[in-house]
Amino acid sequence: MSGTVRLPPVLAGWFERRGWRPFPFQREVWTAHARGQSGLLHATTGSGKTYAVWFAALIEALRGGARRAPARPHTVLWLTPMRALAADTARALAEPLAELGLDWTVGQRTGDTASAERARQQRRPPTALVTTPESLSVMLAQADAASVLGNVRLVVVDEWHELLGSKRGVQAQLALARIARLSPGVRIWGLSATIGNLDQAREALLGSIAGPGVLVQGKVPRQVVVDTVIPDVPDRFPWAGHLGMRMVEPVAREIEAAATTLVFTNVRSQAEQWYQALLEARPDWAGLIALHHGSLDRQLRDWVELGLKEGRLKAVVCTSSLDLGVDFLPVERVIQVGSPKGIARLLQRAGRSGHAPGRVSRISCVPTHSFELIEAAAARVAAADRRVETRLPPRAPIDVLVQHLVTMALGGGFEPDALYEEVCTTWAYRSLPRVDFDWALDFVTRGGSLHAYPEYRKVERGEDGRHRVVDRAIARRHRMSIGTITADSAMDVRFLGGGRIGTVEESFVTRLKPGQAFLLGGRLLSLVRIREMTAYVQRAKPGTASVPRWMGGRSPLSTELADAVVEMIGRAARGDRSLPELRAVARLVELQQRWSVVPGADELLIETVRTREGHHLFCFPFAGRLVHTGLASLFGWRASRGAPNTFSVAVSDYGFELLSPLPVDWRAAFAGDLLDGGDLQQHLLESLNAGELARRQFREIARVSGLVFTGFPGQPKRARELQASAGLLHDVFEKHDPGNLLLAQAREEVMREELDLVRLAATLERMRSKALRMVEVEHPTPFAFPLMAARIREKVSTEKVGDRIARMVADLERAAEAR
Amino acid sequence: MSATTTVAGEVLELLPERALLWSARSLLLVADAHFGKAARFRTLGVPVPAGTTAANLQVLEGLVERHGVARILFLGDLMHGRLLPGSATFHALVEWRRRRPGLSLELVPGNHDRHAGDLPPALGIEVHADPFDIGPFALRHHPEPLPGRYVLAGHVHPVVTLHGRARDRLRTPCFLFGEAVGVLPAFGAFTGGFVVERAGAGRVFVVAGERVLELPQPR
Repeated sequence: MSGTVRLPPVLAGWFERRGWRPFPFQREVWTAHARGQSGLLHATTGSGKTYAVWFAALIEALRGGARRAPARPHTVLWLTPMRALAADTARALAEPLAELGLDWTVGQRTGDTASAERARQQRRPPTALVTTPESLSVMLAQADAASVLGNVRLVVVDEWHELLGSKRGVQAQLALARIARLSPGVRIWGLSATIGNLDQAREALLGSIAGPGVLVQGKVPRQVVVDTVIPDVPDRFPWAGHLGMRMVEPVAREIEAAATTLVFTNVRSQAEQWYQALLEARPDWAGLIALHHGSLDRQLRDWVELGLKEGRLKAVVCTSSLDLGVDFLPVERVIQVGSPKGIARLLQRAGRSGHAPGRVSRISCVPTHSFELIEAAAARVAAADRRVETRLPPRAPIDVLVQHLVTMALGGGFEPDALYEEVCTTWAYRSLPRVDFDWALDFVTRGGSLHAYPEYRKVERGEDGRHRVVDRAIARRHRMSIGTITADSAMDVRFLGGGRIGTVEESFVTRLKPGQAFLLGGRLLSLVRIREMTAYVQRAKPGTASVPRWMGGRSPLSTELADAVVEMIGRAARGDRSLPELRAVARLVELQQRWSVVPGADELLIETVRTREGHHLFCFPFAGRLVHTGLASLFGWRASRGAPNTFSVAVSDYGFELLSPLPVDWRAAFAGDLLDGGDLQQHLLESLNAGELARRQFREIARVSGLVFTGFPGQPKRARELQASAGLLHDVFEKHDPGNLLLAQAREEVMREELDLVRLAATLERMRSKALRMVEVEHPTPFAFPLMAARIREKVSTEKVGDRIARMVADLERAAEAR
Repeated sequence: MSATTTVAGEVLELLPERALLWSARSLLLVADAHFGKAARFRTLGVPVPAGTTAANLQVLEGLVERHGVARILFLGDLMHGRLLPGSATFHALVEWRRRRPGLSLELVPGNHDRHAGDLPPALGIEVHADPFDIGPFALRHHPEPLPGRYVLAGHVHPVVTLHGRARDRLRTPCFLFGEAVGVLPAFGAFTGGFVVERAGAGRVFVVAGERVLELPQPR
């Protein structure tokens, strides 16, 4: 590139001493930054992306040589999505400073930062501050925000793809808009892993900056190897319940073959079970393998991460808790237990391995049932083609806006016209109608547009026309709740003696009775008592234990991966046995073909079967469990309009089952309006308990908009006077203020997030275009069986379920053998 | 549609409005009305819409009218916090009282009432000591048993969770009648609930919309 930035001699020397040369993409970032441009750098972890943006700021600081001005506080803000990453990032940023002779300081400020440290930072702010979107918003909610954040030259948003699709990303957009006002000329640089909509990611990041900014392509991703651990005898009747424990031995063998392995599972409960199972398979690994997930105590996680860095650990069983963060050089292999659910996640996790020179990233999928063999093959093909998911940024969430108004009222106050203009510079609110802004303004100043409550005064309009928060208790509560966007009600778990083990979800603990045992952090614990958001436990004797259920484990298969699965099944249908996974599922595919049909990519398979349970319909749209939940309700509702009937429902990522006591003429129903796109939203609302879904969705909205207050840290007992559940507030609003925009937001979020209306409509359209293959079968087929097993598990939740399903498998195997 | 049950030899009617009617005495029992809770929330910066006080009073008025109630006994937590003279809640209550001068209003105070301080004389509410004996019953706020008496109380805001098909779940307020203690649901329109374990709770009557239904005993 012509006119690239000249590297200051001291920096050039820094590279020379290491025998390194700057990558072209690093120079590209430095040059653009020196020209005053902002941008998004697309790069994977461990590719030098941190120094690409950090050195951009340092180059500017080094300019002027010995006569340069002294470092000014908060010159660089570095946003990281996880506070756990802040310490490592701060260390990496501080590392080259001394050698470069810069008088810069690096600090960090997150929800974990002690108040003494925060006070010290207030007196002597660091030159560069590593922080989270929440902590940045807390800083913006201080009266002196304008002076504290008025000198920012560069904001770096690390792992922007992680924030982009969530309300936290919107919070970050609003904070960036504010900083752009406070520090004119500030540059914003985002770092993002591979996602399908990088251009949109750049637009959403740089909305408040003049000019479009640049998209810099980072180092070409290293070679990624995706393969599959093939089970010895794949099931013909797969079911998703037994967590693939038969795969423990093959996985243990894989772990033996590599120096250090990360074993990813999709949910924390699965991580706990795999950790236990691996220890049972290899008792001599005690102390050499470890567990890492978001519910474990920070200190324990730190210890595990250090062990990984130093190569002391043979393997770590983990969840998305280790998706991000600094690289662990010793990691050679990554194992993914169960479906990766998406291509981006597969690539991200693969990228955690093979950072040592001359190594490649390698991820091995471990299917927990036979269908995941097909999925693994599909994922590999799609990953090779880089068919990566998009992450859609939310549009104009009112709850985040309500929170932001109070934040701005605290941070020196605001004038509505100017703030409206500022908010509209963000991507999320770029077409926010003024009436909606005014509604939010009314909500925080008067309690709503319909009423004027004399006793309500959250944000008050001063005589100078500026809006401020005057009440100190309200101010304190707001600053405290800014950080709670992602908080779920987690309960501390401690030994009676006081030692902290970690957290579990409140809903899980409150269902346990004292004396009941559960697994956490690889330890068998029994509940003694619950006191004020702390569960006190002691070690339990071995026996049966519940595994805590944590939320967030039910993310659906992505559209990209689902499409790849449909193609892969089409290959299997055509008799393709060229891949090891397709060979492994050959028995399953042949039986499916014998009893029913293996659908081609342009066919829609419907199976009906009559059993002692009743009349079953199995439908396989391969559109992910959210869409299937909506489709199942819709089908049930549409089919029972003429002839009343009741349906039991089961869904998976591949299809759904409707079970009814009375027979249904499904052929007529499909010929009728079953697949119609018309009145879709209306029919869905009527078929689902949509009101209840919206009520549940309102929980997060109530928390973000400050309607419910979760309490002060160290004061777990909530402010009693303010105790009201989000559900109760939802009901009161619905009855007495039905036009409230937050209610509308809850309904819209249900449609978009819970039911994924867009994908559902697209799925219906695609189903209409396919050739219908409706087969009446004698027995549940290999395709249908996982759905039946899932339904039975949902209905009865005793240990005997495993026995019952095993018996069913045995029956079906007999039927399969009897020709 | 209400449910009727016999407790300590007396016929009691459990109303879907979350109150208990003792017809033989023209007496209505109401627990945990929490008047003024929404206003208190607004003072603390949470814009709960107005209307819950009016809704509560409308329900009370309807019950008095329909059932010929002569006497209402509040089982504690009538007020959520201090009732400020001049507040909307204060005016609404006083106005209702003015239209029902002959009705006897009585209170066995609860923990919230004690924090709320004295009630305005304009409301004409007689305050009893806890427990207050009437017939075979001891009326009190906290559901703690008393030897030789059947206790009727509030405080708990009991709700039960009913499970339906798939992931269908419903929380609904309930009446509980154990061996020696009966608990009423919270009456207030802006009150939450506390999920009670059904095992060992005795007889459970749930408020299902317009009806009160007794749940079958768990196995």
